[in-house]
Amino acid sequence: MRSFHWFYQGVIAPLTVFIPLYYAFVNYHFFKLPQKILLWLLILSGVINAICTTLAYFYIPNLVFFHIFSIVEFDLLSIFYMLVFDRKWYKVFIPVITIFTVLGVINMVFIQNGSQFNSYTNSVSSIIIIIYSLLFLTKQNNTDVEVSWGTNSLNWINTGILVYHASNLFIFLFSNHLLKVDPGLVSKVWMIHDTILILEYVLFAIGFKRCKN
Amino acid sequence: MQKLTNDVLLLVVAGTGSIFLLVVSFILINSRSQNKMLLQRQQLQKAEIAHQKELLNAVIESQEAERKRVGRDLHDDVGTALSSLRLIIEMSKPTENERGHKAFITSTKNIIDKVIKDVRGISHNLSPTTLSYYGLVAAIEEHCNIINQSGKMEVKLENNAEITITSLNLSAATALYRVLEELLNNTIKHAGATTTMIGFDEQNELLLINYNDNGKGMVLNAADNKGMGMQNIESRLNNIGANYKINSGIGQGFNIEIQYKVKQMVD
Repeated sequence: MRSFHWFYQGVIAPLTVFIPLYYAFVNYHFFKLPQKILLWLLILSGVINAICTTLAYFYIPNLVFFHIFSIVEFDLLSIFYMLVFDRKWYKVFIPVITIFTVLGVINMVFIQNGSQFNSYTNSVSSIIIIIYSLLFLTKQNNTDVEVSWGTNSLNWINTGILVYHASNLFIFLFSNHLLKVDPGLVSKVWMIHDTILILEYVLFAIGFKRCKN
Repeated sequence: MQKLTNDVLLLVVAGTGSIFLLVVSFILINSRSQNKMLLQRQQLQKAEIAHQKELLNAVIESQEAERKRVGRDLHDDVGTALSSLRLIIEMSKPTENERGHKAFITSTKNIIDKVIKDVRGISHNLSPTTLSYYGLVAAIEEHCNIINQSGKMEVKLENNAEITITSLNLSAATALYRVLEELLNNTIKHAGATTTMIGFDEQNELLLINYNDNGKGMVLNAADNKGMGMQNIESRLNNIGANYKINSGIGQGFNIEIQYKVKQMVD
């Protein structure tokens, strides 16, 4: 008999990815490249979650998929912000993506290999993404003066990204330590993570819905 | 052990919750301020559009008034004179009397002269030929002479901008002429002034025009109640990209300083 925690984390939270996916497919013809990149990230997230849930169901270790997904997620989000910013920012984004990918792979293979949660990769990734997000807010405040905040699709998407990465930073940082204190505790803490993930998906869905504007 | 677990859980929940609240508040404040800025911008744009509409209305109304004036002048002066001429010719009978013949010729000549004078006046009002042939200062001088001769008030003209004023193109010169004409009209109609001073000065590429009258002045803060004449002045100056500053007050006369950057002609 699976617990409610397992059901919430393994089924309910991953399934909510269909909310933004629905709006993405409805408004796909209004999408520009940044929104398309985000759509690919959501599809990938859904697939990885499905694989991990299946593996977990059969008690097969699945941490390696989280390691891979964290690196790809960072790269796709970096490309998303790179496309949103001016071309002059490319020279900043490309080295960041390259260095992060190399360090993420080193961490996956040599440091926090398959047996540990990739807290280093996720924490660093979240900090950099928070910086992207804040830079985006500054840019919007200076340039987006013709339309109201709510009508811009990118504002909702950026809010979703900022809320998810800023709120979960604590969880990513202390995940492995919590595991040492009490393995049961991690499960409870990850329920908070999944609730914020659902909120992120809802904000993405609003963003995709506003793409018409 | 259980207590430690609970404490750690509480700490993580509190930390995550605090950051979550902080981020949400930050986003809310940010979006609110952005929307507020947008609203202010829209209000400004609305006010600007309303002002532009007012100016456009003033231009249309003044065109209409000009047409009416030309129509009235043609009807009252030229039309009446020509009717009189027709009547005189119709009434005249062949006569051997030389005095009668001379009287006929004199009266018809007088009427024809009046028609010529009236037509010249109307044509001058529509487009002063002096302006295109001899420039702004000569046209203004001519206008001032007419006013001075009428005895309505004394207008003095001082030109210290001979070089700059010659580089004025015709459209700018016409606009400035119309502005000065409107100012003089306003002074005659509303200010009750006895003397008006018009000064032309130059500073680098700037043409500076200073207009002063010693009339009763006007209240400046009544921006919403500008008359058609003042709106016309504003519209014409805006059109040529001239800056202006009005100084006036009740009992203090009227003064306007106009600055116009004369475009240098490229060889």
